[in-house]
Amino acid sequence: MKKIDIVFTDLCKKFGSLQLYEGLCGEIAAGTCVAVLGKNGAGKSTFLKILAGMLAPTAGTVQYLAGGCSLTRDEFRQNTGFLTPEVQFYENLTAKENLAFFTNISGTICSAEALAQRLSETALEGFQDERVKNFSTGMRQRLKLALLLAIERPVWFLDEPSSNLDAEGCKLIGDAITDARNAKKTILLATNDLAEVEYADYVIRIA
Amino acid sequence: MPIMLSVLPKIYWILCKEMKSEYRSREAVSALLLFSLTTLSVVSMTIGNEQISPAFLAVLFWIILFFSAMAGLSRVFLQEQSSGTIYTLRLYGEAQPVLFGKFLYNFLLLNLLSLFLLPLFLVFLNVEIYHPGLLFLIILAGNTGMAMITTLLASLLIQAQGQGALFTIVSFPILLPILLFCIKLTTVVFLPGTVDSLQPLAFLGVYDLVMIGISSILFDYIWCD
Repeated sequence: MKKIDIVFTDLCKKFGSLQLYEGLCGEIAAGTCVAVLGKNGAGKSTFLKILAGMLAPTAGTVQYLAGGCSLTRDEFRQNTGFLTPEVQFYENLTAKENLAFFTNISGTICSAEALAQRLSETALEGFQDERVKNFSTGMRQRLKLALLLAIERPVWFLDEPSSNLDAEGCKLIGDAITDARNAKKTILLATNDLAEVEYADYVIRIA
Repeated sequence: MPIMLSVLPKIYWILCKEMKSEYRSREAVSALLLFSLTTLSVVSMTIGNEQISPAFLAVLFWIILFFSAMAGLSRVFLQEQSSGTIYTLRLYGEAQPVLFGKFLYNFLLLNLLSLFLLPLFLVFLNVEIYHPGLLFLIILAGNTGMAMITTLLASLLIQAQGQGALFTIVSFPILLPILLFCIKLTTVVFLPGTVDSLQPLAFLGVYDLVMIGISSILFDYIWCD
């Protein structure tokens, strides 16, 4: 598994006249779990998007270092998995079809049995042939987790991963984070849930 | 070559996803076929039994095809934007497979439209074809260029307001050379006698290749930013 350090320097993000933060510096070492905390609107999700290379900062830089070599944003993206509110599935496709589609276009070799296994791990085994348009919000969140597990990327971006989940679903998320930590994946976790913060090695607090 | 081999299965998956989604919703096909049928019926009723020149017939055929295409081809990206799946596709999909998967889908859709429109056009307007092989090549070449350009422009317009109208306005000048070549060549198809020159068909082929190349280069920037 590729080990990637994320180094950010003097990050600043503005939306019009609204400034979220300025001069944010730090490093996220490969294999660590970092919780990003802050009140609503502080810019936790924006910070994750900037680090993921999905959003350009107003100022500052983000570098991705793998074994002393610098990776481009596109190379880094090929190593990332997401469980964020922005991840949406095709309503007219079934859960299994959505998983098969996204794993295959991401270049992950994943057999039908492996996909069924991921759906089973997220307690969706009875719904694999059900179209996503019939899924509840919690079931969609579980499907996002199934996709994250299926594509097996070394860097995870989790934005409020337990939102809309019942107690069993929250436990699934917790188990997934624990397994990922044991597998030395890098995890960036934006959350307001103090129970989730327990998984983190350290915290970045955005005021 | 290995890069190409890794891209081909991804193109296949994008194409299959588009076809499966369309088969289950039938939104684009319905829009294209109904628009072309309505337009053709109006044109046919307006013209009645009057004799029309081959050049005018060719113009009518390509105008109907063009505006019908405008009604449905932008959906490949606009649908992704409205349903929110464009973000997930950007997260996990690479630029070239997305572009060519969606281009192939639009190309197939345009060929289906042509297959539907052409027999009705011949019957409704009482047209005779003298060079069916040439017409086949013109439609293939015309549809290739139209599909490529509309796919690229749809991807550019996903953040814009009033996408439908803007899509037609922006597409028209870029598609104009294709339409002019196609109209010129189709006029020959509707005339008896031998075909003098196939030079416009060669120009059309070159224009298609240039557009495919430009789209491929530009799409990397559009997709990543």
